[in-house]
Amino acid sequence: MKLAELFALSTGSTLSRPNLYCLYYPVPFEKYVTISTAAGTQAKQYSYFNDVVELLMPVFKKNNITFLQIGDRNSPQIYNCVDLRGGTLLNHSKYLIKNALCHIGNDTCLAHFAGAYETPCVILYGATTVSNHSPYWFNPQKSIFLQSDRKGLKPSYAAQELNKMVDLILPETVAQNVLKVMSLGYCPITRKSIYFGENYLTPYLEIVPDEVCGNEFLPNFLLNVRMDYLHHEENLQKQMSVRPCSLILSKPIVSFDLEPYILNQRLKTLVCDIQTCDDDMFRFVETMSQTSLPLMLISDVDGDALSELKLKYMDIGIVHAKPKKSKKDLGDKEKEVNRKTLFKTQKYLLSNGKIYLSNAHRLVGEHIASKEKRIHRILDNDEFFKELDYFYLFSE
Amino acid sequence: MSERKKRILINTAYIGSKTGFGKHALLLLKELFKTGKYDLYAYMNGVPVDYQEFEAFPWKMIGSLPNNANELSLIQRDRKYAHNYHYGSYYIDKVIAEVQPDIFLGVEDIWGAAHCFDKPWWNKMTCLVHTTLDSLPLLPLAVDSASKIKNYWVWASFAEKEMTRLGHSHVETVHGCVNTESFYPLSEEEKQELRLKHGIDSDCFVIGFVFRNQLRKSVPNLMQGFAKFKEEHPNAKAKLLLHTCFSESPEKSWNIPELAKNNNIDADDILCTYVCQACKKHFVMPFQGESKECPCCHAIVGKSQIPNSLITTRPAFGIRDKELNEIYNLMDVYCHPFTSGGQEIPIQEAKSAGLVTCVTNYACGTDMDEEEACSVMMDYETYYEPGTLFKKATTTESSIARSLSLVFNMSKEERSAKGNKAREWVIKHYSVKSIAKIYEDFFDSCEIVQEPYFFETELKNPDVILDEGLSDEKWCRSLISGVLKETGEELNKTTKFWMDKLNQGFKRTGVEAHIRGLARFENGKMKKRPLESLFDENGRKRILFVVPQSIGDVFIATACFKSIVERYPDHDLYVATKQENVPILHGDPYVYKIIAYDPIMESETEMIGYHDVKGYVDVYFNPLIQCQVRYNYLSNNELGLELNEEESA
Repeated sequence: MKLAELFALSTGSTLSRPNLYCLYYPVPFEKYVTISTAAGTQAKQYSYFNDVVELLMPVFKKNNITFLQIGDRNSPQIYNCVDLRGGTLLNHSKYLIKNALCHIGNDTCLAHFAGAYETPCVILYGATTVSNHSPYWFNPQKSIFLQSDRKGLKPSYAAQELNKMVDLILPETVAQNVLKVMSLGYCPITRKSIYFGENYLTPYLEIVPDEVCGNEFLPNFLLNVRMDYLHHEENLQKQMSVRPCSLILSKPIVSFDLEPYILNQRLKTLVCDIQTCDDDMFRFVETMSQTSLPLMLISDVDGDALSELKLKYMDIGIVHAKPKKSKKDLGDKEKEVNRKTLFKTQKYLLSNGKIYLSNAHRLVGEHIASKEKRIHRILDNDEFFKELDYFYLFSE
Repeated sequence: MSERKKRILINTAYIGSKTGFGKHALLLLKELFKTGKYDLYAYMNGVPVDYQEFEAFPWKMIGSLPNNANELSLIQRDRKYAHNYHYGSYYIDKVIAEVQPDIFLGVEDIWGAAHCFDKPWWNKMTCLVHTTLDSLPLLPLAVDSASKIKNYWVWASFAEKEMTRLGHSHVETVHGCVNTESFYPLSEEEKQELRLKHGIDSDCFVIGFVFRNQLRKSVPNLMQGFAKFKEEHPNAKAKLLLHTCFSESPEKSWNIPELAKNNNIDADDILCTYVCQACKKHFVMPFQGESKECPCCHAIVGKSQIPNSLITTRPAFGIRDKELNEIYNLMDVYCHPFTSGGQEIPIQEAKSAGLVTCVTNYACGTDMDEEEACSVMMDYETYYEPGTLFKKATTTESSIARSLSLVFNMSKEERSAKGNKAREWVIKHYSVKSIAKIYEDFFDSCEIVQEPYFFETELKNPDVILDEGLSDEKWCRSLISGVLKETGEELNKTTKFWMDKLNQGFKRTGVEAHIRGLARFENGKMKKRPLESLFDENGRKRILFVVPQSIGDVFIATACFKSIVERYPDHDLYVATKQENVPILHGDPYVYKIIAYDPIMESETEMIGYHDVKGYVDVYFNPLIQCQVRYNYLSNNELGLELNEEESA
């Protein structure tokens, strides 16, 4: 039963059409598609709209179609769209949707508007269901409601999901269905998603301390200094004096005192990668644990070695078992991955004045010319797959 | 075939907490784990099943409280669990069944362990209770339980002696562990550096007391004794270092500044340990009130500033053993006057740190009265605690002053020699290694349980039918015995508890819903699906129609059944209602089964399932939400219904 039907049932009424009043909004484009990342709850919010837009953009450009992003101002921004977030009244949004070639979005009121105006639409469902939550009024020929398979689980109906079910819908599925409802289905989407790392969407900036990075490069990113890649204390000290950072290390800092940097908020967090019960490291971690610095202990050892570490460190903190990722973590998809496989990431590693997309790329000297170029080939080696959590792998 | 490792289940306070039991169990578990001889399971009281800190430990950790807030609130309201759910009573049977331990070790207060003694599994494996008893006469529960506890250890010998006197000669003394590696004497140079750091003159005579600010710690006596000592030694530059919280609950703790004032003690002579909530640094200095500005970070650390971040140390925010050792090393003498106690671990910590200790010669204090312990025993008067009539000690001020004088008049070398001797004595009798060795020898002498043992935990009967015509007392008794299957004294106690509630104005329906709900959760603990017994496993789909009350509503609802059953021909219709409405449904050809209503049925998602929760039914109706939970039909029915478009046209 849909909500409208429930309302009819409890009021003893028959349903007519909802109120379709809207307010004119000037749009300088003849052909456009509305898209919204807005959602009432975290669980309803699809994460890969940027990838959907990226897939559709070549076809849209060829057909002179523009993306208008609508919805509330705090919803995540999509690249390459005309950004109207927070700039329209609700009745403006209705007008824009009414006149759009298509509307793409989550399970929100905008979906019900699109349905009621019979605007072609592609709406995504994960925590909720198509049978209960999709629009009551819609044009069945032009509307596609995509429901996550939820890996066989029932809908959670929850406001928050740890692993969002709606994200199981692949971007190429969304894009292909958009083309279908827009009668552009003859333009096939060739991408095949293989794997989404759980941190793929998290912007992440790292630096190997063989150089010092100023504030001008990605100034809003917290800089993570990879002392575990290169233990260079002098450069670390310089780095913290020019830009606040976080620190990942596997050896203690011995040549200077970190405390002033903690008090001055130049050092934000500390991640200690612990491999052995080494006393120097233990004393360093113990000292750090007595400061206000947020501290995280990780280790990729297992079995008895992990037990030994926990035994040593249990009074200081939790040693989180963090097994290193490998190609095997791709599971059934492992055989689909080869050296032609492409990947995207939001993680950048700076070293010697160059930008790398992974440590594996740094080790073979393959840097990128510009961070704007977003799609690259993977490196089919162990070092690359260690950072699998940060990658989206696909073939085209 | 090699024998498997022995499985030891330790039930105690959460080992991450700073309680005496928790600290003892943590030290013990570490030591036992190092032997590699045992499979260790720590069943932790007071923390939930999925407690996130469990990941810190290398052995298996098990929480004792449900994660589910509804379930927790249900057991908190219940007589049976209200007093002991903090002690692991709710899941203990399930844990025993799953772990199948060879040895069960309860390290708890006796009233916290008592819920185990009548369990069907008790003494089917080796069961050991290691508890503290703190005064005389011994708690009746502790004495009465002695015959049920085959292996009964107490933390102090006065309790063993009293038990023996009462005919329970199997009770033995095994002390709680003290971490002698964390508490040790620093070198003279290090001590002087510490004094410099905390602004304490090197010629000050520092008298220390480390304690939880509770009324059983004799703080007023110490103040009087200190004042007297100062009077007798005006040039001693004496300071009293009280490592405790100065602002615990006013009814249950001492107002230290007021006590100092009453004894004409200069405020600068009372030192305390401040801890900064922002930068975590600690400072020993005269008490100047709570919530002071931190002299180190001025509370500007991190994004969220904590104004006035300096507070006196407390259980929830204290310092680590390493820093506490520094506190002990600031002292010249340790003085621990108390009314009663089970072991008073700070006394042994102070000895371990090389201090001469002044101890009240009562209860666990008598264990310190050995030549090798180098204690200065303090005299006391006895009194009977109002209410409990336990015999308690009040340490005399003259004895405190005399003891302090005795140590004051010792040369530094003499103090140091005695302190070192005391440390040796503590290592011998209280160190983790010595205590763990006693445990180890005991565990090694125990048998492995060769055959898995099963105990029948009788399932409750949440669906029993009651005679509503009975008097309140008989009805209540039949409810408890029928649903919870309680008998004997348990039945009497529970009946009385709920009769009192009824007499206070509780409704029968509320009591009944609670008891039936509890029975389902009890059954569900084993099966994880508390309502499953209500439904038949016949392979057919299920419709649940929820109509708890009233008779008229149930009657009207029956008019919907034909249509529902015809629309869902491959489903069985279950109707959930309260006992008193069941007759209305009798003989209805469309009803597959009438089942007992449970408040959890008000949740559609619980019933149909969500995410990875399976649920019970496929189709759910609860029409009364719009007339009983909220009104939504009172004024909108005058024109009747337009049932379909044809009719409205």
